[in-house]
Amino acid sequence: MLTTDEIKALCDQNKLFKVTPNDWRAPIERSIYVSPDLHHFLYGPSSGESQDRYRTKLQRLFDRFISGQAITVAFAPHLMGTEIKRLSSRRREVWEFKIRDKRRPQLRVFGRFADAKIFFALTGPVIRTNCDYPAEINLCEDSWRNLVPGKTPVYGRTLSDYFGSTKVVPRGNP
Amino acid sequence: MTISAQQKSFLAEILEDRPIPEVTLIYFRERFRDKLHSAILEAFLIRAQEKDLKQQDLAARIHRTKAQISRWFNAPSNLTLDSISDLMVGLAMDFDAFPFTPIEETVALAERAEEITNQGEASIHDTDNFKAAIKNLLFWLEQLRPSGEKLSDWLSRESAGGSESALPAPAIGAESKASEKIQGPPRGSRKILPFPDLSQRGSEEPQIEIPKSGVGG
Repeated sequence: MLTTDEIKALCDQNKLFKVTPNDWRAPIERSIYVSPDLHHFLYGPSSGESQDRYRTKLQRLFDRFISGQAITVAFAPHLMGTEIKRLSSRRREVWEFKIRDKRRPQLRVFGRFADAKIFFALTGPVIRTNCDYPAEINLCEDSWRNLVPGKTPVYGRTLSDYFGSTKVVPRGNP
Repeated sequence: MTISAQQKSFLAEILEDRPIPEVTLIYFRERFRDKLHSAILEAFLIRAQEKDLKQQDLAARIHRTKAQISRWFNAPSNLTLDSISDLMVGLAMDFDAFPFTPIEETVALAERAEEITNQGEASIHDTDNFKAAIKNLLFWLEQLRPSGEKLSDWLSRESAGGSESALPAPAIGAESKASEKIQGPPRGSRKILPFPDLSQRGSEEPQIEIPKSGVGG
């Protein structure tokens, strides 16, 4: 796990960017930090309507996580349909955030919990149908190791180890 | 509740009565769905705690399969108006009257909160200014407090996320007093007034005693 000072240092070096919710009325219950690539995807120049749509939906999903609104979480790769899922075995601790769109392919963003209520979104977005999950899990682990060598992500035993005391509807067990 | 430059920029077209970009419309659609979805999940969590209700039980009550309930719970995009209604009835929960608030009022409030926060931070060692900032904050909290509810009760509820849980869901059968407490005052009864200038402390200023110790160090 990382200290607040360590996270701030990563932000100062532009290795991570804190996500500010667009929802001006929502409380701040959790934090999300994104990699430079994801920051560019969210806030950089748009390649067109499709990117606009996807990044708006990703921003909204992040906002929902940050605000502590009730959210569904799966703790095993085979459990489908939730908004957030722990993909890999507990030992690897790679999570995905799901960007859904009824008219377009779904996208996935991957990352790890740096502490309770603090998520680092490191890799993606990738199109769900083309997603090579084992490769994405490795990529996410590598990104973590490059970003914070020697640091471990959260290996939680309870929901609150990841999400704090706010509302989560789990599927599977931490 | 404060507001950042990014958030103000995001709301610019709405506040300036200009055509609203498609991405903003998409964001607000998602936000609306999220609020309904969160309200249902929270209602379920409450019933699960109170009555040990399982998704299987809920499914039986509304003549659906557990898989269908699971799909509805999993993501906001799976919900329809009908499924929202069925789930809430199955949970014996009712939506309150659908509230709405002019966005410009919420932004003005957030901007003032930002200013007060900044004043508090800037003058943390200046006891008089700090007291004034606290008084100002308390004054405005009093203005926003739902009528008939103690400030401390309201703040406890707000800090627990009460106002942000979208459409609060009192149990069917709960008496109107409970419903009033959750809903707050009728629309139009909240006073949204311009914030008083800290330097102009007039007779309208609330008379709130602040202990000498514990404020401003």
